[in-house]
Amino acid sequence: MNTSTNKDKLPGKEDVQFILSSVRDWSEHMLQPAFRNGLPDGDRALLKKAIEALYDLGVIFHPDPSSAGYELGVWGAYTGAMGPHYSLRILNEIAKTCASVAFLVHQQGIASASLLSWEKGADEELRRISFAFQDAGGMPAARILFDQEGASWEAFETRAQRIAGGYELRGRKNFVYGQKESRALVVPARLEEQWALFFVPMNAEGLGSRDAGRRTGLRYLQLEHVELGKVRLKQDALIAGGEAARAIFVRTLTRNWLGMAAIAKGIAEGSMEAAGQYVQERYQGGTRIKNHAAIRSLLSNAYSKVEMAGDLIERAAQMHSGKDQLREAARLKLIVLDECSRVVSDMMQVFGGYGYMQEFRIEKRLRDIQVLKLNAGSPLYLNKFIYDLKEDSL
Amino acid sequence: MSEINDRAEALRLKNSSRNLPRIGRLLVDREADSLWELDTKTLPRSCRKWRRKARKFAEDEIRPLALQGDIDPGHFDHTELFRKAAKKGFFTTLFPRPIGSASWRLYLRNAVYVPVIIAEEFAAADGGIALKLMAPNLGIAPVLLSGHLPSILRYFIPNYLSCRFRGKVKTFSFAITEPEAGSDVEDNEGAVTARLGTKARKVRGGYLLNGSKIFISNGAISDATTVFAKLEGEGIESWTCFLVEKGRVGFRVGRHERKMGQRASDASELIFENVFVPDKNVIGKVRGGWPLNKNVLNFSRPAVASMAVGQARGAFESALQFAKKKYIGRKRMIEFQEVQLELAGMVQELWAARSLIRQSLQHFAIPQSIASASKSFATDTAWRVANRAMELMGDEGYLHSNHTERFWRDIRLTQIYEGTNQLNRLAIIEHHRYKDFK
Ligand SMILES: Cc1cc2nc3c(=O)[nH]c(=O)nc-3n(C[C@H](O)[C@H](O)[C@H](O)COP(=O)(O)OP(=O)(O)OC[C@H]3O[C@@H](n4cnc5c(N)ncnc54)[C@H](O)[C@@H]3O)c2cc1C
Repeated sequence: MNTSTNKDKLPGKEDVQFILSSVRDWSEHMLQPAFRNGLPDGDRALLKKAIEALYDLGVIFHPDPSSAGYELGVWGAYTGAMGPHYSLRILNEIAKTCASVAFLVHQQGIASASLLSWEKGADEELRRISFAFQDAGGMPAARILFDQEGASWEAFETRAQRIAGGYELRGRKNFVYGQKESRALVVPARLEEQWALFFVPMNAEGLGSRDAGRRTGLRYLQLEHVELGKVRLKQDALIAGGEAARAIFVRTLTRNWLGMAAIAKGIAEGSMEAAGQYVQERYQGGTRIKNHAAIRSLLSNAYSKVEMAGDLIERAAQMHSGKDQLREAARLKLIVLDECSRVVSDMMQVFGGYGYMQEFRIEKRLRDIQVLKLNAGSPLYLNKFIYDLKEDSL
Repeated sequence: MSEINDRAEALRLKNSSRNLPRIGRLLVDREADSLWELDTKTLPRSCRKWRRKARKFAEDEIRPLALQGDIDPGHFDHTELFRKAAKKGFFTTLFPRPIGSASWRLYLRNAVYVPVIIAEEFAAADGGIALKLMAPNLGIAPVLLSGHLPSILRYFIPNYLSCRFRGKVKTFSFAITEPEAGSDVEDNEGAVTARLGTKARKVRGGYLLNGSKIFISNGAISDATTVFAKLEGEGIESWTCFLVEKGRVGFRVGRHERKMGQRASDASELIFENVFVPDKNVIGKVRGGWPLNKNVLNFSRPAVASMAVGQARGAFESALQFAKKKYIGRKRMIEFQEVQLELAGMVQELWAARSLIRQSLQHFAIPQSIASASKSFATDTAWRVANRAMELMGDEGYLHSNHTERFWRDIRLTQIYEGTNQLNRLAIIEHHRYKDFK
């Protein structure tokens, strides 16, 4: 597949503005109604419809060049030339209303983008695809990512082996987020002490998956543990091998964390908007609560934190892809997720008892952001990861 | 490596203290007890028994129901649990023997000593069920704290006797919050301008109650509720506490809130439409509702604090179990220094919060300042601990099956009810402003 993009044809500011304002309209008319019936995680049927509409709008990336989302889908083919700002802004916007949908768009985007250089090319199947970051043992260590001294390939559990006519995969991938009826997985594996990325259809023989069970947030998405028990793949299932595979993995991981930070900021902003409105209406202590210093300090703190999050995201988005950007993305994931989740909790406090009730939707935001904070790199993991990357450059 | 381990083991005080003289040895903790048991031994003797009993009850009876109470609160039947709790004396700890089940000695130190200690144990198994079991204390507390003998003789003592000796559980809920008055009914200044909607009109032989209360814990399942209402045409100064029994004409339960956590316990709206309440159901004095409410809060805030510590302990314990079992590479998680530092941080925070709560129990009449300080400090601390516990577990932390996330959701409520933590902080200053901080 041809992945080069012609700079002259790159979308201009107006195109981007147009898409952004379409997303805002869509959010108001299709996404928000899914939450009007008071269901804690939204009306699934309406959410499904809203997501279909996003596909039609071309906001969800699909690596088939003839599809609507090829160019300007989130993490679409133009991202390399345009930088990640655009995708991050869209994710941020969607997350103001629903982090689950934003995360779904994001996951679909990063998984699809990892296929851009795949020779076999895209087909309809790729409308629903997931990227499997984690082995059963957890997220890969920085040392594995960059083959540093002491990197133990043993910790990378999923292994591929060449067999006649193709490959055989063995291992387990945990906490794989995807859409209901996800059709395929992008699976990073170790092939003869080298990196490799495989395209694995969910119906491949030997592949089993089980639902991870009930969880705190991001409940619209499917969350699965995947068992790869001697999964046999054809030769063309190899998306990339060696350095190319590693580069794709690093890029995907970077984008994953950047996107999660943008989503977290969106969740925080959504909760601030709701709280900002509530403080104008709620009357306690002889006045509207916006007049109490206790409330003002919660709001003012929130504004500062979200502004700071925005600046950090911007800084990371401007960096060249590679190790430095990965480290910056890890920092973002660590700091922005933490700060923004504090913001959401503070906004719940602004609502008092009502904030704890599902119909006000602050509690959903708190649940969602908590899951984002823990997924694909917990704070403990990120701390270590950042240190390992830093140490390498010391 | 194993030689280093062996030598380090030999250096542990427990082992190396063999080389101390006999008296020196006596002064060394031999690490024979668990952390929990060590702490239990610091409690007054009669309270230790309660703590052990509560922990066993929590493990045997509460924990197995925790997931069900969270996932399907609508079908959660508490009857059997309540019967068992009553049999063990857990519903009658607000009064000493033989009427209640508390011991005299402790009771004379502090009336809520035993419930506060029990609260942590119950909540360490599940926050929602703990609230369900503890809320009846809050509901009946106004009767006791009113100090009004006729009310106590008519409602408190018979209820305790039938619960203790006939196993009949009659539960009470406590209703101050209204749609337009939440913080305002917890705070003196706010109360002055509060838009109170629940009113009582004097009629022959009693009062007619109109209005509504919201977010009432156990509101839907209680046999009686202590309802605070102003007298028609007057302000908060006229607030009076009425005991309203289930089944009174015009009294009904409205909506049940759908909450983020503590789901096993209902938070319900109570609606009063011309509900006749006889004079004898006035608890304490007419117009004596405000001080009674404030004092109930002083006694109940340490209990809420204790529940929060219990929930945080629950979160910590599940994270600890996880760290002991989970391997990262070839090592168990607990062997990593960064994991140990996190766990240690949680232990410290739990100790600190618990100590402050115990401090509040040193007072016969709990001062507003320390009640609010323990409530706000312990609940904020608990929230931090639960976050740390989840973070330690990574993705596993948010799965229901690992329990930590339930404690996390449960704890968040403790920073809001019994007065938001902001209002509790202001209450600390209010208390000291005219004396210490003049
Ligand atoms: C699950 C649940 C169970 C409950 N159980 C009971 C019960 O059994 N019985 C009962 O009577 N009540 C109960 N409550 C009510 C609870 O005590 C109140 O929710 C709480 O006091 C806060 O009131 P509010 O929700 O109206 O918030 P609000 O008072 O509207 O507060 C909103 C925000 O404004 C701030 N604020 C308000 N006034 C001031 C002020 N003067 N100065 C500075 N800041 C201010 C608050 O700190 C908060 O951040 C329960 C609540 C919940 C959520």
